Amino acid sequence: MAQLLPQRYKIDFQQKLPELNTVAGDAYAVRGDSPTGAKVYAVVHSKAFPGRPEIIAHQRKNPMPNLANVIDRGVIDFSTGHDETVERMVSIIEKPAGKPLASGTTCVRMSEKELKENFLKPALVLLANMHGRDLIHRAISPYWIFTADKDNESITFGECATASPGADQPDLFEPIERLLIPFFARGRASAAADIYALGMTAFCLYIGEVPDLGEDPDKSFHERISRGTYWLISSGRNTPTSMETFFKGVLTDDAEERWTLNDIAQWLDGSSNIKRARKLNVLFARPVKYQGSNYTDRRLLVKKFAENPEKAAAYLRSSEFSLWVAQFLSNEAFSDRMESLLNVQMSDGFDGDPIVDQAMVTRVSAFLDPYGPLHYRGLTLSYDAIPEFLAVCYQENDLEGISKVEDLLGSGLYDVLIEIVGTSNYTAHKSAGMISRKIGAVKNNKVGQGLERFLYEIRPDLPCLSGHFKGVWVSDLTSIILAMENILQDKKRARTILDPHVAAYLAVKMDMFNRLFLTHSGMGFPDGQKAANFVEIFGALQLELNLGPLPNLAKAFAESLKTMVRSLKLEERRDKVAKQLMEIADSGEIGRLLTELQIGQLKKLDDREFAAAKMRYTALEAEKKRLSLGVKASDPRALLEGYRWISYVAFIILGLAGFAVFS
Amino acid sequence: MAQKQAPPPQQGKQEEKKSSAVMALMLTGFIGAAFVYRPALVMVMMAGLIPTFAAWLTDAHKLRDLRVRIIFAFNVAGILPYADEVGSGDSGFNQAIELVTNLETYMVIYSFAAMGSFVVFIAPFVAAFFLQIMANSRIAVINSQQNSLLDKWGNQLKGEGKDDGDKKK
Repeated sequence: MAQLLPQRYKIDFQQKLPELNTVAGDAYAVRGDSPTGAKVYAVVHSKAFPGRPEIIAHQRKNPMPNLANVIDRGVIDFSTGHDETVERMVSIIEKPAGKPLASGTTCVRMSEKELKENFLKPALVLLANMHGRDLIHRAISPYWIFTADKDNESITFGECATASPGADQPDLFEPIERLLIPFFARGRASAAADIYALGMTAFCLYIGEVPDLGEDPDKSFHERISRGTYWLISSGRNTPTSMETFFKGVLTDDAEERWTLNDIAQWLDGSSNIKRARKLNVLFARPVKYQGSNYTDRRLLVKKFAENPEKAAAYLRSSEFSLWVAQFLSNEAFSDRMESLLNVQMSDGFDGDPIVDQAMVTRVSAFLDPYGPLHYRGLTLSYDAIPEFLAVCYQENDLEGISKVEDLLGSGLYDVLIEIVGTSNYTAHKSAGMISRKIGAVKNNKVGQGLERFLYEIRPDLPCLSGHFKGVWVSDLTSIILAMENILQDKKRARTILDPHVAAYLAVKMDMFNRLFLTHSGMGFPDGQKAANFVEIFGALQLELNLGPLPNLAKAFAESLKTMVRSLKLEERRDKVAKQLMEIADSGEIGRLLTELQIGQLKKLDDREFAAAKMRYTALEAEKKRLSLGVKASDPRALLEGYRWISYVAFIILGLAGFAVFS
Repeated sequence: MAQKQAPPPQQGKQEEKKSSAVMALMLTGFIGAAFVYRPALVMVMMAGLIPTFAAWLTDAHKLRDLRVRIIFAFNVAGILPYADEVGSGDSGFNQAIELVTNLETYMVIYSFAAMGSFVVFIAPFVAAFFLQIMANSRIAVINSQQNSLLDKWGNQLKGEGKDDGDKKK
């Protein structure tokens, strides 16, 4: 299907562009230019990373300066190389002219002037444009910024629309609060994350290399926290005061203290007195001793808690929590409301229910480090990356991950966590509004609801991740109906076609399905009158979307309708309608199954005629029964009829006698 | 043949009364006519119709009037031959007296009445015989109609609901 994109662009699948690959998919060359004359390349998406629709929508309407914009999208038939062709979403992206600014630990070196003129100023233009539209790039690093010419005088930022936010970022370019999180669950974050990545990129360009913090992300996390990121990467280097001011400003680990685009612009204009208030409150009033170590930084203790929530729960329950807070967080107000939200009950040991204990540790962790990620039952993810995380879980069939997210959202823990972190965590607070509005579906176990419904409600751009659609990219009603038609070549699959993904997807895409699913159970098409309701909608969609004949779907619906036909009592009518049903199904016109046969009306007529026939049969049976009893001379009827007829005979005899006597 | 429903009790009694009135009217009318025709004949009739009067008074059957009507008809048929013998005027009375005092007259007239009683006795048996023949014929028709319905609608018509319209085996 959808060969329109290949008609517009000649994608050369033999020519891979590995330097432009993202976690979302592989890059391929495109022969010729785009209709606008720009050089372009193609990224073939993997299913769980359909991209960032909010950015793509903006780029297609109004491309952004100094950025490789996505200019077109479409679904193509893609050969996986194993004699298999699958449908994939392809993004056509403006191709940067030059090479990346960094490779390995080597990076293009820029002087202060070059950095300001050739990097920071174009970067500011781009980020001002993006942030002004409430878009965050989340893929700024020297590996993903390209020279637009040989002299490095102009640059192009790599595209940021195909992968999940921050998914391709090396750890060094991620702010501390987004570290140690699976790459697909780092979250959209705020403008401050872009500023940090910009600052780190600028630092790399200034020193001509990418600082190596070692292979162990745990260790670099600890070092960045204990020493501060800037101090860690700048130690042993001589940086002029003006540049140091800039780097300290943009690389501070406190997102609230970090410079903004305006601060950078002021600095570029020569101002040197830019100060922002430090707000991040990450230290304990006094060191907390936990499992033999002293913790002064809350983030490190939270991380330790997350490593073993059971032990953390036992530790938290071992003393009066309000006293613990007073002892270690003496400079913070601890309201009764917060105490009740955290709900830490003192006891000698485990609560007995590990999930309850783990939820308690999650709440306390959110309280101690509201800026950091969410830790729950071994999961670590950003508050604003739940849908992306869930999409990957579904795509990879990670049942454990799915179950944990379901528990997190369905148990109400998520809402409590959002109240605990409050407005401290801007991105959590921002994403919570949308998630909370859709969370009701998670607790609903009806067909078309559940976690799948939540996912497609919150990420309507996602393709349907049903296991039925392994090689198909289902992105709208048209494609899901065509995919269902294809799947139903195997008739047995009709029994499971409405799996939770398909049902949820249909319900999200069309409210009428939502209403139908309210009374439906099971994963197959329903029978009888409910089937008729489905047929009505699918028939209307077939015409409206101009889908052409759909014989497999029509046959599946015909099978569902057969229960209605089987309920017709007049055999002749039943056989005739069944035959017509299959003939219409062969034509593939779903709507005709109802409009032409009028099964509902036939059923009513059949019922009426059957009732009349049954009444007639019963009356005959009763009469036969009565007649079968035999007639005796003593029966009233025999007496009456006998006397009556004989009385006629007697009077005839009388008449004859009279005639004989008097004539 | 549609089954005739028994009349409601109230209606039955009314019909009984009506039938009795008809019978009384018939007797009265008949005797009245005889009186007008030949007054002496009334004497013969009064003596000859004793079986009818006896039947009328003693029969407790609910179809008494029909039964009595039959006896009456036969009874009258026995009287008729003598009716012509009774002349008008005074001689008529003499002839009537002669007849009513003759045993043979009674034997003839009462034999007719007895024949009537016999017919009353056998009439239900005869009727039952013919009705049975008619019932058998009707049963055959009913079977045919039922088979036709079953052919069309299947055994579910008999209340065997789950056979999904299997035809009659």
